[in-house]
Amino acid sequence: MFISDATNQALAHALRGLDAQRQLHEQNIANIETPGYLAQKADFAGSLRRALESDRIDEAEIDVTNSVLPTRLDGNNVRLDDEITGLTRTQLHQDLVTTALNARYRLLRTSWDR
Amino acid sequence: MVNSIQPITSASIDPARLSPRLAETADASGESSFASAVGGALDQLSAADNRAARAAEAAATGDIASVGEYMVAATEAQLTAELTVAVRNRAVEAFNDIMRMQV
Amino acid sequence: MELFRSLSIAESGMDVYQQWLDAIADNIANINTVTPTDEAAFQERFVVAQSQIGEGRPEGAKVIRAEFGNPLGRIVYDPSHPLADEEGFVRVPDMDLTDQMSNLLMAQRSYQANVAAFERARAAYETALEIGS
Repeated sequence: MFISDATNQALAHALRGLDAQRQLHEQNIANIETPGYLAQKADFAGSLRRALESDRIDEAEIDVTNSVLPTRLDGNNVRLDDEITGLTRTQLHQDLVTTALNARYRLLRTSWDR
Repeated sequence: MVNSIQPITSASIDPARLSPRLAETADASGESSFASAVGGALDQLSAADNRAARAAEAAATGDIASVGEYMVAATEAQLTAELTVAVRNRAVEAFNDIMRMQV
Repeated sequence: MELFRSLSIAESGMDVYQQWLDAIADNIANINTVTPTDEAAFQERFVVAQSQIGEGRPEGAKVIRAEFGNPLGRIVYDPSHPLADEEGFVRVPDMDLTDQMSNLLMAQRSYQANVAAFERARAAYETALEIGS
């Protein structure tokens, strides 16, 4: 176990992905009344999973895609409840990843401090 | 996929199991017993650390069935590390006591 | 295997009741929609929900299809109506506002229940994150 091994890099990448996800939820909510606006979402998990399997963590990416949900009359397809629940989900996942990263650092210190 | 997480049982944090020969540190082959005790403890630590690392990666990608599952794996790794350090310190202490003994 | 499954289940419930609310709103909007007797009446909208199971685990509920009420509606005598036929009849939807209002209340309460389930699940996950600390 090293300070920045594959596991910790994966956790750090997840934090970046979750940050992108949160920003897009906020962007979507801000544009809920913008005619023609399509909701966007960020996915980091699929790319990160492949990167971990092939042991090439630096190849992990964050994919941003447009929502394919049906649009309203004004061409907008943001759904407020999806965005709010998405924010909660992102927040919880962020808490989990932060907790995991802290646990990894704490484990390292345990072997040094005493 | 994450390996199944073993619950923390009294057996898995039993110092005798972590370093099976700890009790025999003071026998004739004192030095090698000490080495194997520490070696056994480090094997245990490395296994718990690996389980926790795989669980942390699964937590990053969202591939764990429950948050509790991850938290138990991480806590188990932390407790194993703390226990290993405690056992090592005691073992070093005991070893030094023996070395200071007047023959 | 899915992280935060309870959140997804509650969300699926919210989605079902949102669609039911949409259907009820459509019904209420058309409760007085009159059609000529040679055309079909506005048909009451229903949603059909089905429970979802994936790999033996619960995945909540989903609207699998819409159902429509009687296209014949009710024939009403209203000779002064511009859409009335020669005998003075028009077709109105076969819907009752009282039914729609009680459905509206049920759908709204059920939506709120799913939001409550979502919040409880969130609290449970937050508690799980405190294990070992």
